[in-house]
Amino acid sequence: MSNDSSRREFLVTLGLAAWGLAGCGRNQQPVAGAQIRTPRAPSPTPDHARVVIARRPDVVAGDGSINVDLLGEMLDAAVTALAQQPKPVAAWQTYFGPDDRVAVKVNTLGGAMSSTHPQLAQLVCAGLQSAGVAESNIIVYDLLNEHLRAAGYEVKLTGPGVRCMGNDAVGYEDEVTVVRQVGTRFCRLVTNCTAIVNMPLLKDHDLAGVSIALKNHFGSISNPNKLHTNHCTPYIADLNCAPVLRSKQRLIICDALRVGYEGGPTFKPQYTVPYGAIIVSNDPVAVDVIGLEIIEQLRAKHGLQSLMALDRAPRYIAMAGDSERRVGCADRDKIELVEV
Amino acid sequence: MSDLPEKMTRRQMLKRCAVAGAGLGLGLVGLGGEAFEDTNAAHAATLRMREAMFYDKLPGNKIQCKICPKQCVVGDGERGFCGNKENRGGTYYTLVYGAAACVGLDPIEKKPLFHFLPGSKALSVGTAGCNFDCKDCQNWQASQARPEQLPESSVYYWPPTTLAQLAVRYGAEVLAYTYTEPVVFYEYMLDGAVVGHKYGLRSVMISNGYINREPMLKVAAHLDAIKIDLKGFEDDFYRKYCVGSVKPVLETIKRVKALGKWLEIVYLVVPTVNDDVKQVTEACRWLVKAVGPDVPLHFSRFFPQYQLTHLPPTPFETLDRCRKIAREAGLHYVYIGNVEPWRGTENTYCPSCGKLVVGRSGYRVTEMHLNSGKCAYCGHKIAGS
Repeated sequence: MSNDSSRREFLVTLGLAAWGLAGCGRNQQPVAGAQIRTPRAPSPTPDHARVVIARRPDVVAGDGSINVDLLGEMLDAAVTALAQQPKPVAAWQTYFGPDDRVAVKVNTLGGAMSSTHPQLAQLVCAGLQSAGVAESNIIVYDLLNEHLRAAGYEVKLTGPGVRCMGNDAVGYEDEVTVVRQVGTRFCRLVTNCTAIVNMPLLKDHDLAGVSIALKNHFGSISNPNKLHTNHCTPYIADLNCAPVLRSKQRLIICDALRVGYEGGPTFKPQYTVPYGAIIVSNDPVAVDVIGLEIIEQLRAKHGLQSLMALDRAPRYIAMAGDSERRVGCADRDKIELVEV
Repeated sequence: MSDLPEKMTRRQMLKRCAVAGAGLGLGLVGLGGEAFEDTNAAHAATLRMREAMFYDKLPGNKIQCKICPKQCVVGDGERGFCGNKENRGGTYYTLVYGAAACVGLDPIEKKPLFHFLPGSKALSVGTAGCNFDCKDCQNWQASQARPEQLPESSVYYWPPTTLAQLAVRYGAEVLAYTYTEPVVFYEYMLDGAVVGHKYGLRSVMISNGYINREPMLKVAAHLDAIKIDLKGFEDDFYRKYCVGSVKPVLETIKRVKALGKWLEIVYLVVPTVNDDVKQVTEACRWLVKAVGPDVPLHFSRFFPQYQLTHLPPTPFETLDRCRKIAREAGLHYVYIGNVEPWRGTENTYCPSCGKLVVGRSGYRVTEMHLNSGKCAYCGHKIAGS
């Protein structure tokens, strides 16, 4: 066997060759196969958004365990309502198809008690597969392997099956992307996938105000530490203007099974409540608007001042929906909230 | 232990940093495109962790860093703006102690320090991270990287004693903390300077000057020369292009002068960004007034980099105009750097008789006409150390 064929077989085994991650060097563009499929679902617009919330208080038991069957039903119901399809499979097929390579962005900075639940990520991966996405074409990712492990994920760099890895395992593009006031390098998983599922948490963030869908992509870039100045504003809004995110992000599935309404982004038990919900949309701005509303309600309920009163209001949400950026809908009156 | 290359040119060093900064690039080069996990990485990371200096503990396991004027408040599990310090359970750690991501055995003129031990060699190190995010950064692949983004194969573990021993072995007289920003690898720099003196080595800090008073005073006691980048003279420029502010830099410049440490200044001239006559004139006049006419000022040529790839290299005419402005402001030693040897702009001329006292070609000293630090022709004291 020649060295070349041996290497090729090795890459095929790993399954990353298909992601355009083989032999990536400086200045290499994503491979042709990584071109973006036009989704059948409409792109987000500032003019209208639909956000679906599925809430079942029983999904989180008293001991903190998750009723996975119930969670699966919630996910099916939410995705079906969002896509306005009669069946879950048809709903998933609205957003994804067999030709997709999907990067699933979870949020695992907060450790086991304040991260996107692995059970939910697993259900999402199953949903993707029901739409025809090959399991080898699904990678769950976050900033670091150690964060994923601490949150209960099994880091799995090679196939078969769905893989899971930190950006420290796969790295970043060599080239800098400049989007408005943000200069950064995107992780290779984002640039080489065809579709993104964004799976944020619903939580308070001391600097950003809240950390939901828009903020979650700080884990998709090389230099999040550079973008926390001035309450992350306008950086979060500007980052989400990046074409690589706008064109590939098909679905946001926010894990609000537990909500941290104060003291974030790390886990603070005294400020965390079981909420038993998932929030689903194709519009990250609208998800943030609804999520912020929930956090403010919880703060008020627990006798805390609003983020606005504390000068911690996440101004980047409105910015992301403004006429210059048009990432999604920030106008609450134009957001259709569907409860299932 | 890895061996130090005998000599690494600037181009080689930048290439090395570029490769280091490529992150995945190196992993892929090494392993043929697959995702990888370096089993030595965790051990190496532990070696490089030290509790950081100059920070306050806050309620809720937060900390506030006091090393630089940014004074980042950092939550548990998060990092400061520099990206190389992390709050772990309410204790703030540097992740780059002894982690030399950029290394070189350079002429001191490359720092640039033209009036400090001319012709000497400096063992130069820098780690990942910076407290600025300059849109024109020439070393952004390392300065804007987080430590884990640099492949293990590109990072030397050189704690202070190793660093000093290597410098002696390679005939360096100076340890230089440079390439990225030593303020953010302060603990390594401080210990390196202390140990270096025990080995008879001088230490120099090549910095953006964005450092608080107390840490500056503490490290300055162990430094022999300091070069500070004055990147512009308008706060708006610093905010927009560096994510900093100018006032603390000016304060550091005055502080270094007051401490009696040898000081040189670099002004990187970026076309259309900080090259206007007003800004350059104000900077030069301020320098004369604040630290005197003998402080050497290096106008450095910009090349398209990082986030400013759309701009052209600085025209020679612009640099020449800056030099004239500086001389008219009263500065005695004004240089143009980062250019091919050109019109003698890197030479030192006696401010009294005007004769050539130190000739340079690039980073090489070609002739020297000094007697005990004085002009060999007229006896005028040439500023320096």
